[in-house]
This record gives sequence, C-alpha cells and structure tokens, in this order.
Amino acid sequence: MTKLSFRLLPSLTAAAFVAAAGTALADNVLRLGQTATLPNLDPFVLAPAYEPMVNNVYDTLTRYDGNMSPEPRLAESWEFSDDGLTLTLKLREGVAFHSGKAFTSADVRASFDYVVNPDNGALIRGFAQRITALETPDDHAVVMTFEAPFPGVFDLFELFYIIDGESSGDFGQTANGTGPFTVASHEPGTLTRLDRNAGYWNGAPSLEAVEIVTAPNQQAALLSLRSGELDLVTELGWVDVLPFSRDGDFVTGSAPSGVAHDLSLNLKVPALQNPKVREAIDLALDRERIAKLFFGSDAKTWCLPYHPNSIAYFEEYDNCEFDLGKAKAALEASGESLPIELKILTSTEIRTEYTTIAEILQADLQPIGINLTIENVDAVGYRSTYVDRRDYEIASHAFGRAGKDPSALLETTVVFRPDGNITGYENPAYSEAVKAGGSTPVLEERRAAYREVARIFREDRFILPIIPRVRLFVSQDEVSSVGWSADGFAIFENAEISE
Amino acid sequence: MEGFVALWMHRGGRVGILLLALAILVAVFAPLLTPYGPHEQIRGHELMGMSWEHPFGTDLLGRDIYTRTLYGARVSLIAGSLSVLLGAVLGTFMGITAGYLGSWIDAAMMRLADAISAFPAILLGAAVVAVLGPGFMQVAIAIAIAQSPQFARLARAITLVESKQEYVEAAEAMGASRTRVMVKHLLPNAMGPLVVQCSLSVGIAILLETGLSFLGLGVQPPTPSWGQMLADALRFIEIIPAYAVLPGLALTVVLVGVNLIADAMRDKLDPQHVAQKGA
Repeated sequence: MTKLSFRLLPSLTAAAFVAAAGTALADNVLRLGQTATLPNLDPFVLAPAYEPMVNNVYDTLTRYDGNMSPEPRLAESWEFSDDGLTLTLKLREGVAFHSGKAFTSADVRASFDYVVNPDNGALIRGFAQRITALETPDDHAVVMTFEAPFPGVFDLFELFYIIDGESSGDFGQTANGTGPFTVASHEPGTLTRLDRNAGYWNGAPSLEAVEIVTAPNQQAALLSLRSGELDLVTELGWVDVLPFSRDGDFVTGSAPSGVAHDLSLNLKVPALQNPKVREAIDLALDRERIAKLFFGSDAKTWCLPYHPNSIAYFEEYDNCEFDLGKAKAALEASGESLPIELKILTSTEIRTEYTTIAEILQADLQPIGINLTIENVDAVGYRSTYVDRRDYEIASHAFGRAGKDPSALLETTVVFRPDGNITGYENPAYSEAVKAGGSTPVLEERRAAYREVARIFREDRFILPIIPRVRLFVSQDEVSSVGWSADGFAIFENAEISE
Repeated sequence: MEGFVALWMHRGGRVGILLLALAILVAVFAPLLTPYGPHEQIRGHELMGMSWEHPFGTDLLGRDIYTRTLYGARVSLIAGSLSVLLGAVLGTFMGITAGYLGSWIDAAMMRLADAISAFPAILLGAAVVAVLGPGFMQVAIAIAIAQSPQFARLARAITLVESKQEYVEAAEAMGASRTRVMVKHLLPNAMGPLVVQCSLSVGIAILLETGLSFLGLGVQPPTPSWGQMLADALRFIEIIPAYAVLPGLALTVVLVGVNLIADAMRDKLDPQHVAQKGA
C-alpha cells in the first residue's frame, strides 16, 4: 500500500496552527517549530523529530566542540590504556537527574544495558557493542573495554544519552535526564514544553522554557515565524531562507547536520554490475548544481563521504567531475545495449530533495542513453523497498554520521558497512581496509587504511556521495546563542532572548 | 452536429466552447507555442522571475513555468475526460442493472453507491490512490469511482421509468434477453441526461485531479500538472509570485469553459430542466 504526503490538509490547518500558537518572545520562552511529530521522549531513536529534544533533556559523557575535539560533559576526564583497549572515565560529581536523584556510574551502566538490549531498538546499538565490557569500580568511575582499539568511541558518546538507571525505560510521556531542561509537558503531534532546570550542573539556562511546536508543514512554520508566533525554524532549504535573509527582523544561519545525500547503486541489477555504467552515472551527476539549488552558492560537494578535515579524506580521490561527454563515452565503452532502462527510488515525503536529485539526474542521463524512471513512494514504502527488501535499482538517499570519525560511518551505516552492504557490494579488500582503519589508534596506520578505502570508493562507485546537508535555520533577531551539536541537534543551554 | 449548433446558439455555451477550444488547442499544439520542452532544465535559469525569455519565470530546476502550464493542460483535460468516461460507464452499468433487475441486486448496487457517496470525493480519491499508488491512471480510476454514484442514481431513475414503457414490454414479449433490453433499449433512452451529467462532471473531475496532484497523489515528476505546480508555488511564492498565477489562471479558464458548456447542455438537452424553464 502506497501513500504519499498529504499537502492540502496541512495547508488548510495552517491558519488554525498559527492562531493556536502562543505569543513568542514576550515570556522568555523560545518556540521552535518543526514538521516532524515527536511521538515520545526516547533519546535513542534519533529520528529528526527528536533532535531538538535530546541534547536539552539529556546529557552525554562527552560532546564534540567546534573542532571535533571531545569536551567533558558528564565525564570530567578520561584516559586510554597504552594498548587502546581500555578507557577509564571519571564522572562528574554533584550532578542530579531532574527527579533529584544523584547521577552515578550505575546510570552509565544502565544506559549501556538499555542501548545494547535489542528489544529497545536503539539506533546506536551496533556501535555500542564495540564496548565488550563496562565496569563501575566506584560511583564516579567507569571502565570500558574494547576488543580492538576503538577510535570512534567519542562518536558513540555524542549520541550516548545518559538515562536514569532506576527509570522503567518508558519514554512515552516522561523523561528523567540530567540536561538543562526538564520535560514539563508532552503532547505528541502538538507541543512539548521543556522548563529550565534550575539545578543544572553547568548553571541554569537563561531561557525560562523551550517549546517544541509541531507545525503542519514547513510553510505553516515559516508563516508562524514571520508572524512572530515561532522563534526558530530549522531544516530549511536555501529558497526557504532567502526571503528571510533580506529581512532585518530575522537571523538566518547554518549548522552542521551530520547527514549527506548519496546515490545508492544496487549491484544486483545487471546493468549496474558494469563498472562503466556506474562511472557514466557518476560523471552525469551534477553535484555542484544540486548543492547550489539546495543550499546556495557556498554549499560544498562530496565525492568522498567525509569533510576535508577528516583523517579519511584524500584530495587526490576527491576527483569527481560533471562531464556528460565523458559520461556518454563511458556508457558507449560499457558494451551495454542502449538505451539502458533504470529506475530511481525516491520519497518526497522523506525529503523533497530526494526527488529533486532524481529529476536532475533523469534529465542529464536521458541524452547519454539511460532512461531513468522515477519511483516516488511514501516513507514506509521507501524503507520497505530500500532497507527491508532491497528491491531498488538506484536510490536517492541520505546517510547519517557524516563528518564524524570514519569508523562510525563505515562500520555502522547501511550504505558503507562492508558486511550486508545495502548495495550488495562485496569486496574483501574493502572489508579489510575498513576494519583496519577502525581498529588502531595509530594515525598513520588509520590514514593508510582509509586511503585504500577512498581508492576503492572512487574505483568501484557503489555509493556516490553528492553533498553534505547543511542545517539552515531562521530565527527572530532577538534569539541568540543557540548551540548545535556535531550532528546539528539544537542545544538551548546558552540560548538567550533579548528584550 | 445539431447539438453543437444548439450549444453554439446558447450565449453561455458559445463562450464555454471558445474557452474549452482554447484549452484543447493549447494542449494539442503546446510544442508550437513554446521554444522549451516541459522537462527541459535550463542551467543558470533556476527560479528566475518574469522576463521576455520566461514570461512567467522558471521553477527550481530552471524549467519554464509557461511551458509547463501549457503541457499541464494535457494532464488536466485527459484526466478529466477519461475519469468521467470511466465513471459514467461504471455508474451507468450499476444504475441500469439495479433499476432493471431490481430485487437484491438493486439494493446491493444502491447501497454501494450510497457508501461511495458517503465520503467526500477528495478523501475517497486519496484513499483509492493510497491503495493503487500515485500516477495518472490511478488518479483517473480514483475520480471515476468517486463520480460513479451520480451516474448510477441517474441511470437507475431513468431505467425505472423506461422499463415500464410499452417498447420495453414489447421487446421482452418478443423474447429479447435482459442484456439486450438493457443495452439496446434502455441505454439509448438514458443517454441524453447521462451526457448532460457527463458535462457537469468534467469540471468537478478536473478540479479533483488538480486537488490530488496538489496533494502529491497525481501524476508524478517530471510530468507537469497544474495541481503539482500550484503545490510547488506555495514554497516559492515569495520569490516568484507569478509561479502560482499561470496554472491558477489556466485552471480557472478551463473550469469556466466546461461549466458554461454544461449549463448550456442542461438548458438544451435535459428535458426536466427544459420543462422547468418552460413552466
């Protein structure tokens, strides 16, 4: 059963939504509008709807700063053993959960047990299983043991939210974290109110409260922002931000998002098993145009799935180009009979950009001899076709964990992991290089392994990275100091609303 | 030809014919009216405002809005006509069968029609497309199902009257099969009001198709449709106000044309309406 996004109904309710939203700014309450519904307060689902909530209700052991260096949060300090197989963390004292209960190492243990329990469906479960043992020698010390050195451990910590060890694990309506805000009320699909945690270990936030308001659609949210009913709207496209950038009453900006667009090429499809066909598609992929359309002229393009400051980035392999002449030549050299008929899976419901990329590619491939049919399905259909059945030919997709340690990206995402790769790609050399890069703390060894990975990426082209997403946002000009995690999750700890 | 002349003599009908003819000509000769293709993406021309080159601007992918509006007429007109045709065939079959055979068949057919009518057309259309998947034919089928009860009720009412007529009894007495009676005798006598109903339904069908496409349930990218363009225009209306103007105007012209023709046909062909007017 297929169901596409309903655009009219949200539009019709937009006026009601605007009327229903409260008056922003006057009461030192920051109102953030988002279209995704926050169904519960589980910190380990990590879907887009949860992003404004998690870092404000919960805390992590460490958090990356702007230079991607881990800074202390609930862990005050840490030390690796010489062989890199043990990590000892000293926990912060004097931290309390919202319930008043003191935070101890038992809560870290309980959070770990919750994450690795398959029944709880935590997204970071696979990653957390790199920790083979977790001991709590005293209330403020945790010792983690790994089977092999785990250089991506701080990536794990970035998403490893500490929950109350005595909680039932029912995050339906309540949450007991140690974060700067407490959950005052939670009405799924309407509003979640977070009140200032006056006893926060890092000092009480300036804001009295944060309200996460569910908007019927992006246009309704922007309308509310313009009318002053909302203070902040995120996850916008360049064209959404453009009218606000010319208006002095608003501030526009960008944050990292940790997500990047890609094309996944299913190697079970006969035509796509031909490397020359994959090369032709790569050459016909106009990354610069896509980047400019989505995020403006400053947007970056990616041939490798990393930022240039990553240890896995190698300029010599960041060498993709858009050249339809070369693409046509590659296709003619492929030996395939032309035109080749292929389908591209997309879902406007998940991201409109998926379909825009498909339309751009379709227009560029058609003249060189590939007829691309767009299959636009709903979010459920997309997941079922792409992830569960893997019954796609080309998929317009986006992967997470971009911009963090390459081991997290390469070992845990469905598009890059060597075992059970979603494209059907199998290559022992790739598996070995990924494993080697993620199992040693020695930088030179890691660089050597990731150089091999980069070479394989550009040679085999089973995944074609396109652009890193930028989290564009607009806020009222009175709003300042909103922070962003490495994944682009909003942090309101230091946010302020000026008079 | 006689019918056309009668419509042409009707003032409203004449205007309607001219407007609809304009829309049909635009749809058929679209390639001659624009230098661009409907899917042609012009690099560097993305989201351009009004200019001589692009009188109504371009969309996010640099496609000419004027061109896509012209080609969008094809989708609206074909989807509108096809869905009404399908709905008329389905509804007429239901109505004549129910009216002539009576008994439990009548009850079953009419309850089915009642059940379909119970849902707002746009909601029913969305539900059907949710099952069948989005696409041109799926939308046509969805609209046809939504419209079939009107044809079923009309056909049944006519059949109930006509089946008592002597010519039907004569045919039955001569051993004509039920199917023959329905197809050869009852159907031709129901055609006049059914044609009027068709003309009334086309406008609604076009509007439904636009609504479903607006919701993202209609024809899929990159095929242009007015509903889809209006939905896209929502996002860009601050940057290119003209984006919504042309598809909206085109839709208005077609709907006014179709409704004027429908009114004229009802004035000329529907015996009940003619009788009321005469009285």
